[in-house]
Amino acid sequence: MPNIATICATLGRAWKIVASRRMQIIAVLVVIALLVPPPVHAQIGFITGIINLVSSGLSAVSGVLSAVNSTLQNVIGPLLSSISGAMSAIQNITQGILDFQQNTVYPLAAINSARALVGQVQGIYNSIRGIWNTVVRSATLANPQGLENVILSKDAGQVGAVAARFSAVYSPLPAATEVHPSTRDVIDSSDAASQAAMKRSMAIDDIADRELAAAEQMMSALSSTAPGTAEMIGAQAGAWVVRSQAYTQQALAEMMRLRAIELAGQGAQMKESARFTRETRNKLMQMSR
Amino acid sequence: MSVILTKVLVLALVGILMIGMVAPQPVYAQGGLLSGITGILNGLNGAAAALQNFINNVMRPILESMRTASSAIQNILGALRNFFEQIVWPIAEINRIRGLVQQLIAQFSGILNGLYSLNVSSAQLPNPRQLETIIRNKNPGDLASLRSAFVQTYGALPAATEAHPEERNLMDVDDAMAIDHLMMLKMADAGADQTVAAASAIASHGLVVAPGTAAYSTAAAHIATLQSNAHIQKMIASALRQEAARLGHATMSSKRNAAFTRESRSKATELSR
Repeated sequence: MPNIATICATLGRAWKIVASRRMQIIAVLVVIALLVPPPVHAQIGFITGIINLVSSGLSAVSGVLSAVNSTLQNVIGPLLSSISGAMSAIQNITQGILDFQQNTVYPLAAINSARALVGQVQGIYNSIRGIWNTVVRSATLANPQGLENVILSKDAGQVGAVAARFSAVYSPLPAATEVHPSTRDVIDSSDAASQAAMKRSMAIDDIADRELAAAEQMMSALSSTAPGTAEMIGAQAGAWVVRSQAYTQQALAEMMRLRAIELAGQGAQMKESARFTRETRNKLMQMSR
Repeated sequence: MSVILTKVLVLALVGILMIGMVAPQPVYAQGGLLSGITGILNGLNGAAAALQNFINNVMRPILESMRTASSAIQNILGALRNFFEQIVWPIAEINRIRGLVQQLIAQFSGILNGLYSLNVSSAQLPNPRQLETIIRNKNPGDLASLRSAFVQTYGALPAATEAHPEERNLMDVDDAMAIDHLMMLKMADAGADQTVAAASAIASHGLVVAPGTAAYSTAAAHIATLQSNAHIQKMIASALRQEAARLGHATMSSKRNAAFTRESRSKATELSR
């Protein structure tokens, strides 16, 4: 443990050092004292600063949030309100359109009624088809029966048999030695027209049956189709009607040709009589000489 | 003693000054906390400002465009509704057409039905009257009666001993074509009655038809027309057969004349020998 004398000696040496550099030390201390901020003043500014800072900051935040609120209430609110109003109106109009379509344009009861009508018409035409399916055969002799069976067959595939059956009933074309050539031409032309008409009648019967089959398919489809697609079947049926008119025209043309050939045959008969009269007169004159 | 005190005092002052110099500076620590609070408040303020900016510059234009679009949709739907209700399917027009259907039925159905069922029978004698009744009764179920009535009026086919075979064939086929045609016409008459019934059904449906279901009636009418055309074609085919038989008969006469001439010539030649 150092004694007092040692301490005093140390202090004395320190004093000598300080004393010898007292001016420098005092100068340094003064400079430091000037530079170091006073701690007591710092503590008071901290509290006041926090209060002021938080107050002004919250005030600024409050101001901005107030502006946001104002914008939401005065700008966004009316916008959303008008959108809501428009949406409500759209809903009402759409509902109105739907109601109009369901109650006026496409009422379910009317759809069912229309389908029932189709079924009714289909039933009527099934009945008509039954009527037309009645077999008609009237010939009693073998050859007429053969011809009748072929030409009433409704089978266009049998047209090849018409010529033979026709000749069996109406006799074949006379030999060239048996009739005058002009008469032979008329007979051949008339027979050809008759046979062609019979063949055409077979084809038309066949066509008519196929049209009826197509019509039955369309009517069946129509009975279960939707209102929006019924028009499509109607359009298809319309196309078939046009096609059918063409077949009818073809049949009528065949009929008119037949009549024309018949008329031509009557004219030829008169011409033949005139020729026969002239030749007879010539021969009588020759005999009287 | 005073010198010692002075020295101690000087040393104490130096010590105090040294402690003051070495002691930590609280001012620097308080400065960091304040800047933190300022930062937080600035952050809050910035976020609020950003929200305000988002509402004004993003949300508002979007909502304004939505308002414009919904207003346009409302106008379009309103126009569509008016178009449907006032232009395409006006209720008054629908009712007017139903009234027209009713008027057409009332105005024409009775008259047309009367004309359609007009009795045109004209025969006076029993056999022709019997035949006429059968061929006009629209009943396809009595075809056998038609054949017998036809024979009663137009005579039966001669026996094989009474006529030349070719002539017998000709008579038989003529009768057959005529009877077949008359039978077919009975079917056509019966079918026509049914067709009139179908047409009446379609027409009457016009009283309850809706604009959207009229297509069913139209399609059914088209199909019925096609079926009627097919039946008309069958009638034309039958008429063609009959006309062909008529022409065949006429031509057969020429052939028969030729054969008769040939046979006469042969016999004359034999006689002159």
